[in-house]
Amino acid sequence: MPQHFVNLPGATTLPTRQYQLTGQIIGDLIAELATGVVHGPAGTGKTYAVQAALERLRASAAPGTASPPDQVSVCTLAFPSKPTMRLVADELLTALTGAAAPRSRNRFHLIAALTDLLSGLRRLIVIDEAQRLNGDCIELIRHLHDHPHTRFALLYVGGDGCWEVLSREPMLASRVFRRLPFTRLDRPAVPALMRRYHPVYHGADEQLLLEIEDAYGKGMLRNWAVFTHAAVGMCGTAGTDRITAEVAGNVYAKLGGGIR
Amino acid sequence: MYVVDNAGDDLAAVRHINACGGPADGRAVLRPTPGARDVDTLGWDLLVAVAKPPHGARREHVSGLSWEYGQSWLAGFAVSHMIIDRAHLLTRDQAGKAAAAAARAGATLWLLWGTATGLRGPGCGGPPHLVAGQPAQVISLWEFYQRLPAAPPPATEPDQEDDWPPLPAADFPTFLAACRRYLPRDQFAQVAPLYYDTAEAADAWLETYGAPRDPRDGQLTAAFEGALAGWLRDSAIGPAPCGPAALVRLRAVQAALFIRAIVLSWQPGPLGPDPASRLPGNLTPQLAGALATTVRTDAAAATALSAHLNHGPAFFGTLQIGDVAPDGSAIRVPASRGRPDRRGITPGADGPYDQMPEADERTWREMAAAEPIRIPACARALFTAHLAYRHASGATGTDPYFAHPRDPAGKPATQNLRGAIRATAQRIGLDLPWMHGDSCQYGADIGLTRRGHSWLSERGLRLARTGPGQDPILTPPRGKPCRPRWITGEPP
Repeated sequence: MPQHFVNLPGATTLPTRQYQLTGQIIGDLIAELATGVVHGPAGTGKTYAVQAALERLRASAAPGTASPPDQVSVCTLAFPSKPTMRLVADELLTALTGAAAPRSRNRFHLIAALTDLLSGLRRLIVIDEAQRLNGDCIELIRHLHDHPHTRFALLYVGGDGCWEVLSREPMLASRVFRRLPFTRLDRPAVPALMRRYHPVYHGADEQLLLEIEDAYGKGMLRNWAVFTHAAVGMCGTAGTDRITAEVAGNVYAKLGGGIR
Repeated sequence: MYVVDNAGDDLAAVRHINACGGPADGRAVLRPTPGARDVDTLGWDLLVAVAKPPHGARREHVSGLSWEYGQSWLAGFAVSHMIIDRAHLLTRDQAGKAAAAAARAGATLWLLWGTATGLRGPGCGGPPHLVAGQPAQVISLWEFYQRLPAAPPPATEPDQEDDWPPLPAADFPTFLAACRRYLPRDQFAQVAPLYYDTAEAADAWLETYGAPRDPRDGQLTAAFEGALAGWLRDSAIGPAPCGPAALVRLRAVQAALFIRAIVLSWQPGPLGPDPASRLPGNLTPQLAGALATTVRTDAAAATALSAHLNHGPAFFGTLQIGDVAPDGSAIRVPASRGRPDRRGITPGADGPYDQMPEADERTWREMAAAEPIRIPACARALFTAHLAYRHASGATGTDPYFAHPRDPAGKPATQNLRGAIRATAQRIGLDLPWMHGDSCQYGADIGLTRRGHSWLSERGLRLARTGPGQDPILTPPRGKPCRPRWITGEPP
C-alpha cells in the first residue's frame, strides 16, 4: 500500500466511496483507453487513492500472478508550475524510455518518437497536479491521445482549480470518460471512520471526535493524519493508548491552537 | 473546401477521421504537430499523412523537399479528400500551403475547426485567416459525417495457397496426366481448367505475336525471347496468386510452346525447397506497401521496377516520362530506342572491353520488348507519384523519367538510382538478386537459392534458342566415341 501522509504508523486505509470508485474508474479508463479526471481540494485523499489503485494494478501484473492477458504499463508524471509543451514532451519521453530526451530533437521528431513509444504496449499515463498544465500542454497530450496509433489511457489528477482549468478546454470536455470529484468527509460519518482509521481512536467519544473534526479535521484526511500523528506521540507521553480530551487539547496546542 | 464546425472539439469527430482510412482509400488525414508554426514541419506532417514514417524524410536526406514529395504522393495515391485536424491552429502560411497542395492534387479539403473562435461572426463567412480568396463552406459535423463517410474495412483475402493440393513433380509433357492420376477428382477439377485456360491464352498470344523464328537460320529471335519473358511476367505466370497456381500455368505454357517446337525448360533444382513459390512475380502487394513508405518517389519507383523486372538500374536511365502511362499501369520502351552504351560492357564504349555478357543482353531484351511492361495494380501509385514529381519539376514527355537529383540534364541517373535502390531494399529487407555479384549466384546466405539476372533466369527458366535437339545446353554434345584400346590393338 502507498505510504500515508507523514508516514503514520498503525493507520489503516479508509474505504470511502471515493477511494473505492477510484479503482473502478482506473479500470474503466484502461479498458476503454479513455481520459479521466480525479480532482478535489488538497488533502482529500486523491493521490493516495490513485496510488493505491495503481499499486493494485502493478501487483496484478507482477510475475507469478494470474495477470490479465493484456498487461498495462503505468507511467506517472508531475510537472512544475507553468510547464511548456517541450517540457511535457521531454518528461514524457524520459518517463517512457528511462533516458533523457536529446536536446537536438525538434518538436516534430520528439512527438513522432512519443507516438511510436505510445503505440505498443497498453499504458496508463497519470498526470498529477494537472491544474498546472496550460492549453498548449493539454493540446500536446490530446494530440498524442487522439492519434490512431497510440494506445494509452489518460488520468488527470489535480487539486484546487484542476477541473476549472481542464473544463476550460473544449477538447477535454467531450473526452472525459470518467470524472471523480473528491470532497471533504461528511461530518456525521467522521467518528465511525476515524475509529477504523487508527487504534488511537478506538472507543473514543463521538463528541470528542466531532470536536476534533470541527476544530482541526475540517473533513480533510490530510488534517486528520497530521492530528493523529501528533496525538499518537502525546498518548505515548501521557501513558494512554486512547485519545482523551486532555490529549486532544495538548495536540491543539502543538498544532497552532487548532486554528486552521 | 469545407470548414467543419467542430467548436466542441467532439471526440466523435476524431474517431471519424481516424476511421476515414488512408492514402490507399484516397484520403489523407493531416494532423499538424502541436505548437509548430512553420511550414516545414507541416510538410513533414503531410508526409506522415501520406503514410510515410516520421523519420523517413530525414533518413533519405530530403527533409527540405517534404512539400514536393508530399504533393507527389498525394497525386500518386490519387487522394481525393484531404482532412486537416485542428485546422484552427494553423498559421496563414501553413493553411495556404496545405490548401495549395490539396488543390494541385485535385483533392477536396476538409478543415476541422476545433474552436468557436473565428468561425462565424459578423461579416465573417468562414475562417478569417485561412486560405484567402478561396470559397469555403462551413458545415456541421453531421454533414461532414454524411458527405465523407468512414472508409470500408479492408477486405481480407483468403490464403489461396491453402486451397491448392500438392502438385506432382512431373515435367510438362506428363504433368496433366500425373495430376489426373494422383489428384482426387475435385482437386483435378481445380487444376485442369486453369491449365487449359492458360494453354489457350498461350496459343492466342503466340498467334498474335506472329513468327518467333528468324527466317534466315530458323532460330528464335532475341525479340521473341524478350516478348515471351514479358508475357510470362505480366500475364501468364507473374500474376499467379501462389506458387501452385503459377506451376500449373507454367506447365500449360510449356506444353503450348512445345507444340510449336519451342522449348521453355524449367530447372527447379537451384530454386530451393519450394521452387514453385519462386515462380510468381516479385512485385507483390506486400512489397508495394513497403515501398509506399519511401519518401523519395524515384527510389520507390526504381526499386519497384527493379523487383518487377529482376533487373538492375543499368537501363532505367533510358526511360522517358512519355514511356510511363499516366495511371502507372504500363511502361513502354520503344523498340527504336537506342540501347545505351555501357562502359566496359558495350563494344566501342570507354573502358576495358572484355565480352558482352549474356545477362546484359537478356536484360535489355526483356526491358525493350515489343509489348509494354505491365505494372501490377498494387504498385501503380509508386510510378504515378514519381511521374507527378517529375512533372512538378518541370520535366516534359521526352525528359528522362529517372533523373539525377542535382543535375537532371547533365548526369545519368544510374549510379544515383543504384544507391537509392540499395538503401531502400536494405530498409525494407528486400534481397534483390542483381545486388549480388556473379560469384554468389547460389548465395548460401539465403538458403542456396538461385539469383539470376533476368526475370526468366531468376525462376530457373530458359528458352532454347535453337530448338530441341540443337541447343547445346539442353542436349550436350556427346564426346567422340572411341573404342577401348584392347579392341584397337594399340599398345597400352
